[in-house]
Amino acid sequence: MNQVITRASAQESGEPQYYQFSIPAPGGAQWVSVSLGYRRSADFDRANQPGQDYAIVRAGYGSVVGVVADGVSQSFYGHFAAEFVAERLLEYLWERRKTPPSAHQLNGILHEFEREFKTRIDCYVLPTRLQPLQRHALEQTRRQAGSQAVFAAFVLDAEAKSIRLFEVGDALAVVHCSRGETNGSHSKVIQADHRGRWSSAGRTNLLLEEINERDVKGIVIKSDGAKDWGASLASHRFNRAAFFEVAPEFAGYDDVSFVAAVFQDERSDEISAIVGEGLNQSPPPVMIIPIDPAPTLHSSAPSSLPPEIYTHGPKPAKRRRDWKSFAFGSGAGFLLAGVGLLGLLWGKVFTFKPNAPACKVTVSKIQVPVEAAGTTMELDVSADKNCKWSVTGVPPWIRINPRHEQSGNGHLVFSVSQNTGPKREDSFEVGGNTLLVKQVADINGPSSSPDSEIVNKAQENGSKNTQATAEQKPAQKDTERPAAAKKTTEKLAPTKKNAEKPAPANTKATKSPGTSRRKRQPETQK
Amino acid sequence: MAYTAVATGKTPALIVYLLDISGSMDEQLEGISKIEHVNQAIERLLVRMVQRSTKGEVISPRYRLSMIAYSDEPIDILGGVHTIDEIVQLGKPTLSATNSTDTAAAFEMARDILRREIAQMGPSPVPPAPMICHLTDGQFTGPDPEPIAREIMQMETPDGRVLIENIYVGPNLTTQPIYQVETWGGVMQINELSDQYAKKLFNISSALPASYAEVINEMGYGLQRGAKMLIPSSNKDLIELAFAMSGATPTGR
Repeated sequence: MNQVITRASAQESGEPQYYQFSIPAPGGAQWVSVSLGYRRSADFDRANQPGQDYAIVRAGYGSVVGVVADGVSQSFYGHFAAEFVAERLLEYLWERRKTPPSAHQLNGILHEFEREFKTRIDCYVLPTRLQPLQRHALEQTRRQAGSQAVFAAFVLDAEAKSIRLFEVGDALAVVHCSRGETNGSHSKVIQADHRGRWSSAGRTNLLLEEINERDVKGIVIKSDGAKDWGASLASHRFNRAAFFEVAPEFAGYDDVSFVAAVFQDERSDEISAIVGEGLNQSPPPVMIIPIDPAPTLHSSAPSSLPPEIYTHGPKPAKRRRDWKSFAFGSGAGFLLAGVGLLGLLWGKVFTFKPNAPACKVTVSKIQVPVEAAGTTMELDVSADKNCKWSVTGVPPWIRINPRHEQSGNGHLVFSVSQNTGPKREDSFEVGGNTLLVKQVADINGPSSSPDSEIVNKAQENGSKNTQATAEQKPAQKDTERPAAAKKTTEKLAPTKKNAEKPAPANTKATKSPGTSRRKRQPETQK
Repeated sequence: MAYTAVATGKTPALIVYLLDISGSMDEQLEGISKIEHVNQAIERLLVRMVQRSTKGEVISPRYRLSMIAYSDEPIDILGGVHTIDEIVQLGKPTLSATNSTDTAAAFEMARDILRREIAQMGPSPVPPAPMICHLTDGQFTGPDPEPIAREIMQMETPDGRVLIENIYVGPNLTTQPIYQVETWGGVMQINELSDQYAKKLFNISSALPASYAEVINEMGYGLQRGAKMLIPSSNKDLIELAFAMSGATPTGR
């Protein structure tokens, strides 16, 4: 069975999140149980602000790639950095999962990511609701420290039972191996130099470390807020119930997140669980920047601040294009932030944007996943009573109804046509808000869905569209066909109350003889 | 304890500022009045504290501040002890100079605040030891503040005794000029001071704890552990260093 499954945490949610699924390990009778857990710090609950961690994992074709990034407090909106570097790393490592990069190679890539990220951070306009002291502090932080994150990332080869691990800063990894000890297993905690940082400012040292391990039984990567989570893979200490028990306590101190991949003899039940009845889907305040007319940014800036720091952004003539590339290239967090920036740049600071609404307009969603078969969707648009808004920049594969200008609260109905090619995404604007539409590929017919988490071999051969079940046996070694793979990303999944299988493991912390640790990449302070 | 407690939202650091706003603070230092230097330094201090307390947009109440400006009598300019997130809402204070210098009365007010605050501290979790940051530009005109200051320095908390830092604004306070603020190690011996009142302040200044020195070093300054928490501030860079020291309570990442 070939499948590619991606799961990511939702920084905006105040609920504990837990995902679990299995992929077959090629060439054997084992499965790899993949799990992801997340709970933002309780500090963010009161104001409903996004958590600073970001966890993402992708598995399929005998490989698992996971990244946990921890946005650095005291840096400029560390959650931006965490999301950006995690998503970029995941894509990069997934593409190279069969021949993972060396630390030296990845070092260069990470600096490229930093440069790309910097342009986006430079364009971010602070919400006008912030008090002058906080604006001053944030602007200074942006210039001096930038948006920073630390991370742990791994590539697991399920056939070879080997991993390549990369770490920057104090993110942690616990690697469980099956040799070197008389009892047949051992585990150890791996942490890079805690001073390492990935930053939009580009002035920090990454101090990237690469670690290679063989005979792996499991790996857990986590943020420092996860404390001793994953030290044991014993079923009663490492499952959904255990995570939901400790997550609220951990969240009292910090964000907590982890990604794990553990070899098992049996397939785990799929779990997509969130405490309570689902996520709070209201966008966090940080992402919603009103576009009402207000004092100009210059006039709202503290008098002691140099005015140039309030005029971030590309040249006006290129602003629209630059911003769109910004929105497309980043994850949801940046897209949301971009909505605000767009509003500010076009609605307030500059006057050249033709349809800039002179009032507050918000849409109920800013990112919409669509199945390959196409769909018709309806979104709520909220606007002040006499506030006019319209829809612009609609791609040819999306039809809008109505297209004419509206005012006040309303609904937007749009139809997405069937996708017969590779996955596609584009955006259009609703009253100054950017709405991103992502439609999955449909190489094998119109049956796939972004909500369908598993596309198995039978589907690829045109058989009946069935979800993989617990009865399915591990597949023999699959011949990888990336072009035919279906990737599904689930960020805001509904609660599923599936039973959970225990994860067998008996480990203890000892030294591993099978580890090769590459020399840290020296860097020169920029 | 060795001043190892970390300032967090649950264990905030308490810092009481005693700010001399006597008439002499209107005198010029490097082209602007001393009081204006202080206003600017306070703004930079508050910005730094906000930075050190910020996660995303959330400002954690890692610092609790009291500001007492004194001349003829002490004035509680914030109206009590406030957390840094509350001060962001209040906005930065702006001081102006007036009248004489009753330093002892200001220390008395600070002592009373500390008594109340320390009495409310539970055994766990342990907050950082409180600090008094006293800024002045010269001799007191009322009673001698030293006995009260010494009393304060004996006040115990689980993290250590109350710390007192003195910022003395004025020219020619040291026997050797301080050319490089960034590399200056601090006042280690009383004979490094040339001014008599500076020597008096030396005696009511705490030794810089190692954990604070580490934070200050990360800011780019060279102050050494054990140096007196006394900054002879003959220029604006030293005033800034002095206020940086007052916000150097260790915090988590």
